[in-house]
Formats: sequence, structure tokens, C-alpha cells
Amino acid sequence: MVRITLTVNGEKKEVDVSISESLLHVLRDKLHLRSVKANCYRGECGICTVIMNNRLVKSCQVLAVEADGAEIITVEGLTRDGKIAPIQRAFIEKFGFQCGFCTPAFVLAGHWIVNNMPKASEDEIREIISGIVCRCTGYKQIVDAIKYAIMLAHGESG
Amino acid sequence: MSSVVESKGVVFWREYFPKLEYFKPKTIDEALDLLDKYGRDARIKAGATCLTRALRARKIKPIPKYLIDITSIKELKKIEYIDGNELIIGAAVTHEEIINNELIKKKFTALWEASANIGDIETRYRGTIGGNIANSSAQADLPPALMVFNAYVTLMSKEGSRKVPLTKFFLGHKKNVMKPNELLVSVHVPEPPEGAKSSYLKFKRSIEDRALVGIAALVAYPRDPSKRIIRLAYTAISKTPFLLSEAEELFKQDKPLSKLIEEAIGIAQSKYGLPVGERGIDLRAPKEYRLHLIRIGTKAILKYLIEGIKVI
Ligand SMILES: Cc1cc2nc3c(=O)[nH]c(=O)nc-3n(C[C@H](O)[C@H](O)[C@H](O)COP(=O)(O)OP(=O)(O)OC[C@H]3O[C@@H](n4cnc5c(N)ncnc54)[C@H](O)[C@@H]3O)c2cc1C
Ligand code: FES
Ligand code: FES
Repeated sequence: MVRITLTVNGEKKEVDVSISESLLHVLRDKLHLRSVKANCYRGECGICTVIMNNRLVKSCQVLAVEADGAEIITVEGLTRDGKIAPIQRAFIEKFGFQCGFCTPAFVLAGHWIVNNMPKASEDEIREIISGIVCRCTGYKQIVDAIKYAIMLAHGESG
Repeated sequence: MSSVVESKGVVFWREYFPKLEYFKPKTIDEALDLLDKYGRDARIKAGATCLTRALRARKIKPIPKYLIDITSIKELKKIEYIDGNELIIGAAVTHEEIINNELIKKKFTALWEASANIGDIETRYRGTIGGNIANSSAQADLPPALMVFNAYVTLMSKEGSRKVPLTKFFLGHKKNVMKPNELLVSVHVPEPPEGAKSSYLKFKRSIEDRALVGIAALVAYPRDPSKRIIRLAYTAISKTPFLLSEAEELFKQDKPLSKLIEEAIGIAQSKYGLPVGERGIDLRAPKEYRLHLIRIGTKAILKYLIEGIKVI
């Protein structure tokens, strides 16, 4: 076991991990952040996506030890003082989900786009989310939600 | 909770990686010491985009006991251009770092386009050029793009270092000439011939897909047979990516270009040899379709480089 320190959703956490564990396992099963979903464990589906040091990563492909010192954001961290983030509101208003299994990953990808690419075109949005699979929506509503969230966060001109 | 997926006693993957010891050396020498000490029981970890899958599936035999993470070695993170001579890319440079490099985009366009064509943004952020080569997949995008520049790699071990041209590096799907104690240190891309332009064309089913067929080309002075240089390299049509070595001589002939292109396509198609997928079969595109893609792709990439007209 190795002790690592993570800043998860703004809070410092110390966790004992083994080298055999991925960041996905630590977040989901040790820190009980159940918004982080596990699916293929092969880097193919993107469902386990989280924001690590302000970058999108597939948490099943990150070793827990590698994440030592990292700053992690999951969907649990998007709500501040009881207020949901623009991307969350946009997903609700634009019906960005059906079964909801993929939603945390897309919400985080959308959140990242809102914060880092306020001028993103539809093609750019589709490119960024291309690593995440949704079996229900056909992506249209997800793209609409991300475009709408950019507008909510940065205004019409965004 | 721990998951294991198996069918008829065959384990496809486990949630946990095997029991491992983890090292994060800061210098090449430290990494080489570790490789020398642990040999076959050790494994290099770069971006881990492929390694994590292989570890979960227990595919690497013998199952590794030691992991050597090379992403903190500064010397492996450098991109260096020696003007008029060569471009040297450290093994741990990521696809994204290559895409962000303007000089590579301008001078080594095929490499830039191949890097931009890899996976999705997450994979490009973590995956490395060294990992792409060392992994030695029959469908890898970077090898053909590097081969048209006659690129080579430097391999190092405690015993010393050697340079291996990429055309001599691959032995089969996921097989290469590296010894267990060797580290891929850098990729060397010689200065392109004067007047050369290059490109990479990838056929895929969706943005983040792997290649159904990937074609790299480099062209200089196409209209002048005495000075003309045309190189072609392919991925995902055989057991390894390869440079169509016959092409360079062929295109020196003083015959109509369209005839020579037809001949080159024929030679490329004759190299087809089941690019093995995960279970030894190729589900993603049948032979006829790949042969068709070789034809239209070779024509399209050369049309683009010779006439400046993009048809695909
Ligand atoms: C979703 C997804 C999409 C992908 N899409 C593409 C694609 O479009 N095109 C493509 O070509 N590939 C693709 N890949 C495959 C792969 O991710 C890339 O090839 C990547 O470049 C591998 O680099 P890495 O740094 O992650 O390697 P790792 O996973 O860290 O290592 C891969 C192998 O190489 C060895 N290795 C790594 N570096 C060295 C070194 N310096 N010296 C010696 N051995 C070393 C490791 O021991 C391991 O066996 C994809 C993978 C995923 C998961
Ligand atoms: S569970 Fe990580 S990519 Fe599918
Ligand atoms: S809403 Fe069901 S998988 Fe996306």
C-alpha cells in the first residue's frame, strides 16, 4: 500500500492505494464517488472520464499512484452552494440524457469545454466528446446541451 | 467490488492490474538500471493507454512484476530540431505535444497529420510516440508517417545504444526487435528532401477509430523524373506497417505518372496479409474493402501532393 494525496472536488483526501488499482477504482470504490461509472476498463468507452489537473482523462487508464498530488473534478464537485453548474442546467433543459449511464462523463466533458473552449464550434464539440459512448441519445441532445451551456456561461456571443 | 469478465474459463480482463511494484525514475540511467535488474519481469509504462488494457487482460507474458514509469524523465520529453539535419523526438513526447508543434506541422506534415488522427483527445493527451512504436500494433498510425522520412529509433540498454531504422523494427503484430532490457529513447526524423511535401490519409469509421487503412506519402519534384522522389508507406493492411520500398525506384522511371501510380497500387495490394486484430481475425474490414481503400487512397493522397487537389 502507498499513501497518495488527491484534491477531489476541492477537498484534500489521503488514500491508501495498491499499485494494482486504477484512479477509477479509488474514486468509485474508495471515495464512494458513484457518479464515476465503470464500464469497459479498456479505454474504449470514455464512461469513466473525469477531469484531472484540468484535463479530461479516462480514469480506468490512470494508475492510482500516478494520480498522487493531482486535482480531480467529478460531477459531485460541479454543484456549488446548492447551485448547479450551467452544464447541468443545460443537460436538463435540452434533454441531454436518457438512461443516464453516460451522463457524468458527458457532463464533465461539457463542463471542460465550457471552461476551456468558450468559442467551440459544433464540430469541435463533437471532436472532444468523440471518445465517450452513449447508447441512447444519438448525441444530438448532448451537443445541443453543451452549446446551450456555453451560452448560459458566456452569454450569446460565446 | 471487484469484477472479472470471463467466458468458458477464459479471463478477458480483471478490474485490478496484477500485483506490481512501481518505479518512477528521473533519468534514463536509472530506468536502464531497473530494466537491467528486472529484465523480463519489468515493463515500461508511458501513457499507459495500451498498457493498462494489456495488464488487465493479463496479456503480457510473463505477467509483469515491476512497472517503470518513464513519464518523469525530462530527457525523454524533448523535441529538438537540428536545422537542416534532423528532428529528434523523445520517446515520452505525447501525441498532443507533437500536434502543438508548428515546425512539425510545416516540415513533417505526415507525422503531424498522423498524430492528429490518433484516437480521441484523452488518448492524444496521454499516449506517446514511443508507446505507439514500441506497442507495434499492425494498425498503428505513426510508423508509416515516420517511414516516409526514413526515420529511425535509438534503443538503449546498460550495454550501450543502437539505432534501428523503423523499416527494420517491426517483426509482426505486437512484435519488434527490442530486447527486454532495452528502452526506446528517441525517434529521429531526417530532414525531408528539398522541395518535399508529405501527408497522411487515414480511413476510419468514426473520428476516434483505428485505421482501416492508413497511407503516408512524401513527394518531391513529381514532374521531373530525374529528380522525382515519391515514397509510400502503409498501415493496417499487413502484419506490420511497412514502407513500399519498391516505390522509390519505380517512380524514378520516365513513364507517365498515372501508369506508375497504377503499378505502385498493384505492388501495395500484393502486400496484403491479414492485419491481425485482437483474436487473430479482422472484423473491421474485409480484404476486398481494404484493397479498394489502398487503390482510392493511394490515388487520392498522390493527387493531393502532386496537384494540390483534395478529393478525400
Ligand atoms: C481509445 C483508444 C484509441 C486509440 N486510437 C489509436 C489510433 O487511432 N491510432 C493508433 O496508432 N493507436 C491508437 N491507440 C493505441 C495507443 O493508445 C497509442 O498507440 C499510444 O501511442 C500508445 O502509447 P502509450 O504511451 O500510451 O503506451 P503505453 O500503453 O504506455 O505502452 C505501450 C507498450 O509499449 C511499451 N513502451 C512504451 N514506451 C516505451 C519505451 N519508451 N521503450 C520501450 N517500451 C515502451 C510498453 O511497455 C507497452 O508494452 C488507441 C488506444 C485507445 C485506448
Ligand atoms: S471504463 Fe474507462 S474507458 Fe471504458
Ligand atoms: S443516455 Fe443512456 S448511454 Fe447515454
